[in-house]
Amino acid sequence: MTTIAEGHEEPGHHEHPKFLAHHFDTPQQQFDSGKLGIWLFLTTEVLLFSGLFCAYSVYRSNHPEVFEYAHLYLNKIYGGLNTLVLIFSSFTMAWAVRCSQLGTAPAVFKIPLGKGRHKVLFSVSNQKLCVVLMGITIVCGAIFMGIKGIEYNAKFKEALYPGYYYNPTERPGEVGKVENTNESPIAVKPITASAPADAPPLAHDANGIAFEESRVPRAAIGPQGLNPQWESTEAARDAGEDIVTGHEVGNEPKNVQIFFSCYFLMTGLHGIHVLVGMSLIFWILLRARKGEFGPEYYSPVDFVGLYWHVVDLVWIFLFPLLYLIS
Amino acid sequence: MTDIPSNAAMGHPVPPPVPGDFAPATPPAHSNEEFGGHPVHGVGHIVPFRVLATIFICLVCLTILTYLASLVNFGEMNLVVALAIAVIKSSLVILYFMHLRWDKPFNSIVFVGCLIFVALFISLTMLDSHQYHSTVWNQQAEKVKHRVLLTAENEPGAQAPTSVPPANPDVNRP
Repeated sequence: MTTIAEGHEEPGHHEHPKFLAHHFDTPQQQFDSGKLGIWLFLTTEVLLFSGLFCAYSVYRSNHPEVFEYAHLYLNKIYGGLNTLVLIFSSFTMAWAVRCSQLGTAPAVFKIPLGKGRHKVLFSVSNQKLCVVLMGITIVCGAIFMGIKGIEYNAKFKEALYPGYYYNPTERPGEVGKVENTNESPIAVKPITASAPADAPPLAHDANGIAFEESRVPRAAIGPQGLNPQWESTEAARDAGEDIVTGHEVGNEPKNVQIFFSCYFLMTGLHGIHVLVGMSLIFWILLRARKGEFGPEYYSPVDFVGLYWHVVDLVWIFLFPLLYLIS
Repeated sequence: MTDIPSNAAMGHPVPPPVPGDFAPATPPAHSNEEFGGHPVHGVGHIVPFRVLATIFICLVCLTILTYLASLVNFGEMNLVVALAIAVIKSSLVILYFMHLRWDKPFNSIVFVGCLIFVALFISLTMLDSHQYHSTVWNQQAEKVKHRVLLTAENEPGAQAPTSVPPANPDVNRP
């Protein structure tokens, strides 16, 4: 009569491999438990972001004119490029999970020649391919953050800050105003007699006041001041043609900073998630290099991959909601 | 030189297997296609590479589509179109990249339940966010009409009179 519990076999038996935690009977049980756990965590992530999406919905439904006006400051090309980069990184991550499941089996790259024949290009162990794919995923995350940094930098240069600090340089007729505020490093300043010889040609605002144009490329064509069509739109609005779109009949809708609060909070939280995801994938990459993962134990790769896909999911919604407002 | 007995023969424990050194239950296949889509061994479903590549191409096409759709003016429907495409894209990611399609159904229940709570959260919050819209916008419309009339009376093309107070929706709230 033996009372030895299962899972405490004598050493030397292969039924309880090293990767199997002692409180699980089988690798399958361990995998399923972990999978449920990571899905529960992902629901909390979705609920976290849903708070921001909720704020976005309320503000956009109440102030559609703010979003229609302010999204013109964003660069659709950068946003679309970032979407493609993230989708590609999701693809390489899903492929890396597949490779970790196949373990040491070779991955064969071949060109189909028709009639069931094919030409083998090269063959590599799936374990090695998994490491390479996770490396590509990390690089894609870095490209994403780089493009985001370029975008953020342009916003900061134009003082398109959230909340109280929103103070765009393109507002005509208020160029001198920014001189009094210390918060914003704004490139536009009134010209004095001691202007350097290599100063760029002066521009004139609506009131005829000369000012030095920013040397930093603008993030987007601003809807007013730079866009010649804006005044005609305003004239049409003044004539009562389209009075429903704006609470405020004037140059710029009120409270444009709401959009930038939403923009920076949503993309900022998302960016933090990208950084966390990159770090996690790097950790798993190091473990995969040691050959820790195989068909019976690949949950770390899978679960980190699921996290990365959720990061991608959030961006799939952020892109049309922030960049593609019509 | 004597024979060194093996650990097992000496009664010592055999060192545990090196992690990752898996002996597959079936002979190792020499082509990915033989694994494709079928759980040969191991604990999970393996998504065929062909499926992953197809989903990736679909996602790229949908991204281009959502950009092109934003250039067309559908009026109110632009938001609906953009969100519909986003929902299709995210469904593809969830079902195939995150292999929820082949997962235990309970994981799907957990996630769909979460989405239901998100819908409840946003829709219940939106319930009263339009509460004062008709009031505010009707007053705005009246003001604009008033302003246009004044402008027309004074002189065609003249600046709007400054006597019209700037609209402030907050003040107008009941």
